[in-house]
Amino acid sequence: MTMRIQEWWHHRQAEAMQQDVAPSWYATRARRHALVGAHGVALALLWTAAVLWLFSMKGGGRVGTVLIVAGLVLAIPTISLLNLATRGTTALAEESLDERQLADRMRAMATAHRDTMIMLAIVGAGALVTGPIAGRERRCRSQASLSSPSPSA
Amino acid sequence: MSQENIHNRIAVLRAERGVSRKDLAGALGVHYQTIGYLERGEYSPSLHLALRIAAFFEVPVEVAFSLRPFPRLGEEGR
Repeated sequence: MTMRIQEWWHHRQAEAMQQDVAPSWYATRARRHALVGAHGVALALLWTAAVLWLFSMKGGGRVGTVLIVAGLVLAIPTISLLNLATRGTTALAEESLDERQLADRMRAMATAHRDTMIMLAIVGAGALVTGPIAGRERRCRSQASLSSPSPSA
Repeated sequence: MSQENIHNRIAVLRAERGVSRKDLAGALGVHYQTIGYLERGEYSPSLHLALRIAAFFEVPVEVAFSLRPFPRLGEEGR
């Protein structure tokens, strides 16, 4: 039963990816690049919301919700259009793809991994540089507040 | 010569036999866009796919694929 549902789902998904819904949105290279950019913005919004929630920053709850909604509103149409533009190269099951599509998928994965590594390295280097500076400033501030006479005294 | 540069006669063979891209793709079990990529030389097929294409047109693989550009029709007779 589960297998049949899975097969039905894969079949329906593969069929849906062959339909040219709104082809003008991804007809040219520039438009596809714009779609990728828009999806990048959507991901950035979702990640920012996650960071705000995780570290419970001041007002993070409300801002985080707004960012999540904005991120989803942008992410859902862009990912759908990108899937249609690539005919489901990154969305379909492997058995639904031929050797060219699998090669494209592997190349896309390799690029994504490389770019993620570069981004993580930049964020890590940024944290290493700004962390000690922020810590020193905090220490200076706390020492200054300890040494200054309290207004009530 | 680039290692990836493999020339093919898929478009000529297909036109000669009156086979559409979709029909050929269906017979080979690949996406119809893959046939377009192959014909334009934007993708080099695996040995397995190249042999299956040759078998589909019932020609030796070197008739359909070559490392050197195929002569234009009529050039050989000059």
